[in-house]
Amino acid sequence: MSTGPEPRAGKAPFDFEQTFRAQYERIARVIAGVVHDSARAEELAVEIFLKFWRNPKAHGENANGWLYRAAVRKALDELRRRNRRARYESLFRFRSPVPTPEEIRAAAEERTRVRQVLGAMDPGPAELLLLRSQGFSYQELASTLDLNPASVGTLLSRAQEAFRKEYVKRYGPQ
Amino acid sequence: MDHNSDSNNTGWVDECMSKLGPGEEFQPDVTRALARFARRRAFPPARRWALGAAAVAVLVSGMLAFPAPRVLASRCVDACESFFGGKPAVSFDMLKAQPAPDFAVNDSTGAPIRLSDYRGKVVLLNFWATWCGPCKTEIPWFIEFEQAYQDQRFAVIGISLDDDGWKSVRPYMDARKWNYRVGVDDGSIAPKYGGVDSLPETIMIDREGRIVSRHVGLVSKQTYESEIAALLKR
Repeated sequence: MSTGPEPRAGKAPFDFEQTFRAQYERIARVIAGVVHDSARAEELAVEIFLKFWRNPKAHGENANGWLYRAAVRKALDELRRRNRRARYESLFRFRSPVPTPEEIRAAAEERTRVRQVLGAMDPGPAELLLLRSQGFSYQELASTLDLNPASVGTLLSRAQEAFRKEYVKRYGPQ
Repeated sequence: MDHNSDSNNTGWVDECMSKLGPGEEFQPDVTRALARFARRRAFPPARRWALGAAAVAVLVSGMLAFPAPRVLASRCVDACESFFGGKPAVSFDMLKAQPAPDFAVNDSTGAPIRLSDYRGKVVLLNFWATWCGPCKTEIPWFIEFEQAYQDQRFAVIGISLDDDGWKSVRPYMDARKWNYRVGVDDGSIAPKYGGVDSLPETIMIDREGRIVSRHVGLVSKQTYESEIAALLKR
């Protein structure tokens, strides 16, 4: 099943509001899945639509692909920004604080681990995995990320391998 | 789990990725998002930056309307110029026990005040301004010192740092029974003394024309008195 972008038919004038209404919820969900902060996810989703609105070149056939790619990039950027911030904050702590039970539980959660691994990976493979997890077909991945359709399978396989290596490096074999 | 096979790896990664999810409770509100979008679109970053810059400009110009921040800003500019321009800045430490840099400035009657003409006298050189509160406290003391010690070869010289010069200084002096000479710095005197970072600033000069001490800010009258007495005895 493909939940990814569908081609826009005809040459009718671009209806921004319709695109917004149709895609906003899914875009916000993609981001929320990565950043795990609903309010921030909605904020970032609006930022993406603002960027989209200011970029008429993106209003073409592959508008939805553009939106998903932007959403995934934005979410990964936010994830990395948060990780950086956490690192810097830990540098300025004189004593390591005692983690709260909630923090211990969250750290052990699988999805927290997945987020950490994605945040540590190179952006390209991480984007590929996230878009794939949103149900993008190989063809859609190729057009969204400007890849050669013939090499999507290989790239995806490498991305999965990179994910596994990073996961094992951090948390040991599963 | 065995990660050796590609298919297993794919399945495992897919399983991991499927755990990423905002949760069932997350319900994005499209209407609210559209309203937020409309607000942000009406107020783009360029406009926000422009507004922020305008606010800073208003704040800075408002601050510069007051003399004290203006002097501070001027000192900052001087310090930057000397730092980046390679111009060696004079510091007071370099001047201590050295001959006081000479200067010439006109007093309120237009008569020249030349520091070198005061050789053989103990000089209290006071940098001040009409807007400076602590300076107002000191001025009556200096008037008193001038009155009390002028026969013992002592003189007070006031150097005003008011930006608008005699326009402010003359009426200020006229309102008081001023007995010592005052000049207005044209920007050349204070830098010779290492720059005057805060007011009042007073420099004591001995009979040989050497700098003996510097007092930044308000100090007690007794401090001046004892210092003047010591210098007059030399």
